[in-house]
Amino acid sequence: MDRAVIHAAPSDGYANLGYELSELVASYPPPFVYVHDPHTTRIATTTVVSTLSTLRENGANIAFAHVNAVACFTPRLLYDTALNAFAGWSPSWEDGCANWIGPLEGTSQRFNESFDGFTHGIRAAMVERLSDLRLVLVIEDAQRLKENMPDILAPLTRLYELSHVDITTIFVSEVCWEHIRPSYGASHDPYYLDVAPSSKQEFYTPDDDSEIPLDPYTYHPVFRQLYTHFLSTTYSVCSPFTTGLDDLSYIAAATWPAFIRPVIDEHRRVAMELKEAHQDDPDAVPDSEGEEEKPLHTIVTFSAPTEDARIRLTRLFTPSITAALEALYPRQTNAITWANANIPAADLLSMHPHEIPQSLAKKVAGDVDGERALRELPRIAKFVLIAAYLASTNPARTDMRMFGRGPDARSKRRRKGGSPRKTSAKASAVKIPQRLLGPMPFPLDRMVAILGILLEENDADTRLSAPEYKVPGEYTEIEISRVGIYAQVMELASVHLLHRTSPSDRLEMSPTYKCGISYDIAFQLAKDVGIRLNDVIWDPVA
Amino acid sequence: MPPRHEFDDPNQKCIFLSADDINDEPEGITDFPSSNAFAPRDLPDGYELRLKAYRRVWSRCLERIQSIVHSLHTPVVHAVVNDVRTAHSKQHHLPGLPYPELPVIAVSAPGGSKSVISNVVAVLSGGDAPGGKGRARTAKDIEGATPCTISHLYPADCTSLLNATKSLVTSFTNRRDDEGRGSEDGLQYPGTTKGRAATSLANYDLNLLKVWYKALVELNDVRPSLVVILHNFEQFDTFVVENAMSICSQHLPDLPLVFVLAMSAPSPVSFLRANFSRKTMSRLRVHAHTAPSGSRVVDIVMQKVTFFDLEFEPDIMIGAGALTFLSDFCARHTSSLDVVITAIQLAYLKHAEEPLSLFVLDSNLGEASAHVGRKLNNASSKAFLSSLATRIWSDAVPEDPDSSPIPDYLQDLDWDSLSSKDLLGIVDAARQEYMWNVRRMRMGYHVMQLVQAFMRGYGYKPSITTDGVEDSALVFMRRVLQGKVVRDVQHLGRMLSGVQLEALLSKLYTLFYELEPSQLKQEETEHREFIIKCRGDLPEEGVNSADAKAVIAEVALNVAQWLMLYLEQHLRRLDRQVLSEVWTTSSSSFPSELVNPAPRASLINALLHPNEVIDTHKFLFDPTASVIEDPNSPPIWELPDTSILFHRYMEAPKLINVYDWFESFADVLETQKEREKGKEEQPRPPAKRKGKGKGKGKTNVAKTSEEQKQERNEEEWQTELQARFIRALHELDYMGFVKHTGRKADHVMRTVYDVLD
Repeated sequence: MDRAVIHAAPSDGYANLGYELSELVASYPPPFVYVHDPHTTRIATTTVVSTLSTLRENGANIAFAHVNAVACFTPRLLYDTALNAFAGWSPSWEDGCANWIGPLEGTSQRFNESFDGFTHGIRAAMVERLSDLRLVLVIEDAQRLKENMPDILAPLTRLYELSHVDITTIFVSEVCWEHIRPSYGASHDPYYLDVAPSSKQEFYTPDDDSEIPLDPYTYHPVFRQLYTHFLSTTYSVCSPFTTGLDDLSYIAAATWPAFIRPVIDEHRRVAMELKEAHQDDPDAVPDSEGEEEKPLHTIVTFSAPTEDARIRLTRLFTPSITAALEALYPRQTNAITWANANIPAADLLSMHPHEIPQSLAKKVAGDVDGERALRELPRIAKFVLIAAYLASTNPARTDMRMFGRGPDARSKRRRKGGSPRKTSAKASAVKIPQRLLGPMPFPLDRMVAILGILLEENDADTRLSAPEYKVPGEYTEIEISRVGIYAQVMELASVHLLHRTSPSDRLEMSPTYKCGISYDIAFQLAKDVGIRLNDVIWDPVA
Repeated sequence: MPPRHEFDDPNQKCIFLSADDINDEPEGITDFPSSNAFAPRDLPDGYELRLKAYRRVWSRCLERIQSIVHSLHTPVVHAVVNDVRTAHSKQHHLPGLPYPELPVIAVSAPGGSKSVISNVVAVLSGGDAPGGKGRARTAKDIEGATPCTISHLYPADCTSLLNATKSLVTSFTNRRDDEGRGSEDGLQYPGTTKGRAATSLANYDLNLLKVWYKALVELNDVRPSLVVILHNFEQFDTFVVENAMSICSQHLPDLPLVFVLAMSAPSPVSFLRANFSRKTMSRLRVHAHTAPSGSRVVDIVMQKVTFFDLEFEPDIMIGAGALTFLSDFCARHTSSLDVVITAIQLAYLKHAEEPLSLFVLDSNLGEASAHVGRKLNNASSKAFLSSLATRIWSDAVPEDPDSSPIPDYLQDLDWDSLSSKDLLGIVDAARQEYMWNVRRMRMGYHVMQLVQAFMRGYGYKPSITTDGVEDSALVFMRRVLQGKVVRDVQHLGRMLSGVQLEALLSKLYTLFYELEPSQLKQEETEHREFIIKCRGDLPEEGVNSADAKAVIAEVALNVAQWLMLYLEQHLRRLDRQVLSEVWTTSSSSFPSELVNPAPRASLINALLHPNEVIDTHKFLFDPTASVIEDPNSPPIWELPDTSILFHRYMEAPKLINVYDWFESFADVLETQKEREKGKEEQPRPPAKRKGKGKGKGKTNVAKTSEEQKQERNEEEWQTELQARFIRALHELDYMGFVKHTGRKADHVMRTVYDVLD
């Protein structure tokens, strides 16, 4: 099958980066280069590495090491990876996974002990290979150096001076140099290379021609024009939310199979009709039994769809791309599952427009809907979550007024559903409601006390009868001291619906927690168990 | 007991007193009989025999539950195994993705059940899932599957990123073949390497794993997936796992790693999204699987399979008490299988306390049948026999003779001259009758369920409840057991005329026709024939004349009457049967305190009222002892030291001055000393001090003899006071009632602010 793949032009921003870098490295590179790409450092790094590889392949006398600061989270890992790369050494299992040690063989010294050893290692690697070798050390996600190895951040930037060899350090990072610059001017200012944001659709396109779980004609070269149009639609739909090339490519990869499917189906239908006509023709030679089905493109001439069809497809699938963005950008599901779940009906293009559903996108089943799972929580768990929400949102000093149920406390209670206190126009700062500021930590005892009030007022009727408790409130008092409540708190904390804020090894104090649910969920839960949430919230939502 | 010199040695900071050393237990507490609450009417070896019977009954029930759960989990296990095996195959590969994604398969079993993940591991390792039937799906059965090698990571291994990557790498690279037998997953592992640790790749370097994997592939000529199972995923440090996954994703596709997360969060993807950054999430390809759990599983286990299944007859029916507890606990606290299993086991265990539950399985009393008579004729078995006879008599003569007639085998009995053999015969007959009734009840339950489901399909509300909400399956089961479904039955009968008769009848026919145990099928022949007749009476489909309508109305009336009669006959209360409590667990009480206790409340109660608590226990274990009902609580000086101190504690303000506390304590002890002295002078009843609890201070008082008291001078008394105070204080401290804040000198803080009752 002559199936080629579709390629798109490389991004301008990254092309410029590659061009500039190759010029620099080939001539007189600065000792420290800082590549800042706030969008997709992965592509920037790939560009840098591929530029260096191309240079080397073209005969430039360079050796480079690519180190990821996330993966190399200790200095030793960084030294080992860099030195092995500089020396062109790959460890093998048979020789004990030994690192490159060069001239130190037989001695007890090693290069990965300290930064000093590292610089010696670099020199040794240089000597072992070629004396006029130019070294490049590329460090991806360099911002992580500041957290993991702050001690060697400054020396790495001055590697040229410290090792006395021709070496360039390139940091690639998504943050600005100002954010990770060591204090007191410990390092030079770098040579800045900034990647311009992509202004148009430049996507990663498939180059894999191996077996795929999709229709084999999905990436047929005849659809190249259509693909470009599709990318432009995807870009226009997604660009208000994200312009990251990886994200856009991800969404395009998930939606294209569904987009092109009606076109392929249409070709298939035509092919089938041709075949039937061919069989009906009495003069035709019948196909011998067992003959393999002919490839589609040999029966019918593949052609790109007409402009009308393209516009119709675009109109049909734009809502579907939006749905894909909503599901895939936050990774509620993954691309392959989405693509498989959204294969459209076979005869979509031949259907009457009224028969086509409003949105072709289907909700991907698989994960239990989070909210529904919460609604299925046992009754006490709902009460605990509501109590935790109240404890996290209401200021502790208002508890007596909100929940105090003594003879005199009731009169002090705030008017139900009343608006927050009126502040004069001259008030200096607007008070932001706590629910917008995030949950406050609360001690467990306080939450249990609030829970007691909620249970006494909203749950007393649903309990099993217990004639042994005669004093009002005694039943609730016993209920909230039962193991079941504490087990429930632990259970909710383990699924992160409550967050424990105090260390778990401190036993001598009441543990503190934070609530992990939002107002909407708390409201729903409260509705389920018959609590009027706005009545017990200090700062009710209007 | 530690040697005496240890006590005298001032340099000894700590002396270990093991439990065996303490032999100053008050008399009467250590010699509690194993269970003699029913001793007077029990056989001498009744307790052991009952426990034996319990063990058989329970293990049969547990096996049943496990097989049900296994069958419920099987689809999830197969889906997970399928995903793991094909994680790196072409069918999960979408062209056009910017980079390879790390496959992460989240397996959530809400309620924390470990069985799903252990079954997954068992199937992945090539074996069959425990308890499973048939052959497991191996790699060859799944299209595009690759072999895999599994490693396990636990939260304790991953306290830091370094530890996590180290455990990950070494869990694979330390694999060795078993000598000559090959490994479990059929792979040959590379042998050990001899390298210097310092000059080789670090053992927490993923590059080491890469090198090892290369050697593995060369050795086996396949590319197995490296499956990493993270147990108790929620307990892992999020930062560590996030970074570890991020690092692993950079080594794709050289290292075909697959992460399997064993979670208990109900919604795995939401959990991951809430805890991982979007950058990490975009590196992962998450497949989520949630095992069935919660109330659905509980309902299925309880309803369809365990106790209301036509194919399975438990030896002991669960009574209304346990069902009430279960339905309440599952709705309120947690619907997990563990709760169900614990509750049933507890109900069974409690049931085994009842002497008559000896007859659960048979009437052999643990002997060969020839010796049963001899055993019963022993003098020690008299009370047991007479209690049996009394029970049979009281059951046989119901309060309302119309509602439940006396069974045949009890008629014409000469109650005055019943031999032990006659009694055993009656027990056997009662057992048979009970089992027959249980079968009928199950049948009735199934018919009712069928009709209800059918009605629901037509938009009717088949059961009536007070608040308009339909009962859960557990609540409905309880009402069936209590015989409280008459109204529902009548309601069903009234509604029946309107629905599609033919469809209902055919469903009923299928149920009766496919009855599995042939005995049951035979018993229900009459009803099956009635249904066949009714179906025959119905006019042909499509006929719409007035006659046809009249016929349909008549048949509907007949069916409704039959259904009401059938259900009323079948859904009889089980606890009205003769000796029903032998085969049903208690209908009134369930020891719910054991499942959901309130430890702090009990502790405070015990400290405030030690005598009452001890008396209650005494009564439980020794029914011959009489509980002295004393409306006035005893004076404080009669209480043990800890209790006295606790009383003073409850009267104190938030911050307690320790010296004041000591003074008030010393006051009470002074009174105690004086009163004791007074009593010593007067002759006093010796039994008075018995059974007043384990209070350690009291033993000191008991030990002080007259001469010692006289010899003791004031200084010694002060020392004793201090020692007793410190001991009591430390006991309270140990129980968590004292908080040392250090805010104010010589002050401690209260931790309990309850009001004294």
